Amino acid sequence: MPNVVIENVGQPRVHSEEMVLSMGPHHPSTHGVLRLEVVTDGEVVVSARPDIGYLHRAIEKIGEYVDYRQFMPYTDRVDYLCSMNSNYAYALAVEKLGGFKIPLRAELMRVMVAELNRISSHMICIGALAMDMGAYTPFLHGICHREKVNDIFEDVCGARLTYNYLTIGGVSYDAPPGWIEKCDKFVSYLYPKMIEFNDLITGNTIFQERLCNVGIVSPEQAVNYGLVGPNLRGSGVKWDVRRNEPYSIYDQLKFEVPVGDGGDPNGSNPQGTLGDCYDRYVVRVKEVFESLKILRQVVDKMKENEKLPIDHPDRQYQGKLPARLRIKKGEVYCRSENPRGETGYYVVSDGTDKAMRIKIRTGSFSALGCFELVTRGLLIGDVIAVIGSFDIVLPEVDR
Amino acid sequence: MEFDALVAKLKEKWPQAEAPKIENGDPFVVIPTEHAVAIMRYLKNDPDLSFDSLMSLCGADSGAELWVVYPLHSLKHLHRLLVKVVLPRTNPEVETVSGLWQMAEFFEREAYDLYGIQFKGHPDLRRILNPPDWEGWPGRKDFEYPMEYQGIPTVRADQFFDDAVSKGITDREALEKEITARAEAEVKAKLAAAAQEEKK
Repeated sequence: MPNVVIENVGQPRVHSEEMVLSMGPHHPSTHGVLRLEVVTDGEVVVSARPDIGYLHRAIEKIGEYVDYRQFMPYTDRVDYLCSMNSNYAYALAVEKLGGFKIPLRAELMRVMVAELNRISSHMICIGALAMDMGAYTPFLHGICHREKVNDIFEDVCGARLTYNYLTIGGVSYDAPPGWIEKCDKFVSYLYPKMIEFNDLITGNTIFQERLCNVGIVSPEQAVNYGLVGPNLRGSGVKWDVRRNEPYSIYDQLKFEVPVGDGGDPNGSNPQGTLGDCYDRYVVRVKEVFESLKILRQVVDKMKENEKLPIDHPDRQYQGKLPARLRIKKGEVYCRSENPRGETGYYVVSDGTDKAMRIKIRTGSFSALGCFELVTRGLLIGDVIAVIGSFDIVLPEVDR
Repeated sequence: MEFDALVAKLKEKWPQAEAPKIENGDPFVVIPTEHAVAIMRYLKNDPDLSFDSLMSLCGADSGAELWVVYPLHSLKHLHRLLVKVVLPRTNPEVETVSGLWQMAEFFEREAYDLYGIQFKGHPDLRRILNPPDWEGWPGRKDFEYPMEYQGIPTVRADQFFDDAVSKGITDREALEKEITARAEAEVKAKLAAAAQEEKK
């Protein structure tokens, strides 16, 4: 039973007859096939239990039947809004287990696509949250910026949704000529557009009033319920795997870790409470700016890398790996920062070319575990806000 | 703290914990099943260890036995530890840790759903990813995929063809006849069973 019970700032109960409302699995605002069993008392939610599994494809089990390289396309489908990051998390785990070395250029390319994908994923999240709250235009703005990222990805790997771009040991293709300049141009394009986006929706009073003081998660609850990524940082816990447990080249990059500051009169959310929906939203908007900062630095590093002779070891986009990967017996738990929080891959090898067990720990799954607690005592309309602010992607929940 | 220091600290209080020698990957600790929750409570509450966050929780099947794996992490001291419980294949049972870390509630339901591991004291141990009336534990290595679920075939018709081709039958018409015959036989068997029940 709950360790920390902090009463939500909720609505008073009406004490009428309770009704069970089945919300979903096909509901426009559940972001996929999520069914909620909502017990209501008038307009007030008594309990909202998530019912999941509609999209269960046994991806973890498939991982036990295909070899390490063949599993890469399946990781695309774990979270289709940030396939690059999903690829990245899996590649990191297998490389850590096998002890493979990655050339510098591959690391640069990986960080670049990961940050671009983080931007495009956050665009969907903040746009869809605004759409759920009744503002349609910000969603179109988000989609429009996301298209630019998709164009960049199409140039480098040919796909627009499930990229399968990262491989174990590097990336599939080198950057085509002019690609780095295109990324640089995108950063210059998005900076003013994001400021415009903030003017449009972030400072909008109606939008703020829908989200402030709704769905509050205290820092202790957030840690205890295993919230990760922007949801955890929205509750004021300064934890980012890229900063605190740096992988790849993140230790050489300069960026801030934005955290929620609800209730702080000088912060971005003065009329709210720490850990409310608006805090989680603002953290994502700020993260887009941080990703742009990272992209600038990586573009500079790439331009320096281009000056190296073509056969230099740092200039290669793939490491030298055996044709058939056989990994020594062992196990590894490896995590990386995805748009929906840290994604942990627990990979066990039994000495053959196939994994014995692959477990994918995703941010959305633990966010749904916290759902019943957060929505207790809210109005039905605010449940939508909570789903949107947690940024739940259902394939990642069901796997 | 490094892994060796963590294990030394843990062994002071719980000498039953073992850290097997490994060649590759992350080092881990195997703890006895009967003291699992007591050790976890110690790991969480000791000020020098203070593992305040459970990163993940999962079941696994090594073929011979089942595991429950708890990767722990401390936000205070920034160290991590991989803890493992080894369970037998028949009646695997371990106490729940959802009283220590709330997030374990969902993850234990998943481990129960896929591996059939019973978590004693869990507030709501139901299937989570599979339908409630699903039979068997699909995560296990010896799980056999059912041919039908609630009267709906779970195998495509061309998988019968693949099966037949491997047996050396290549005549498509003969195959189709065989499939119809099989389906008819199934229906007949069901009708016969129903008739027998009525007689009783």
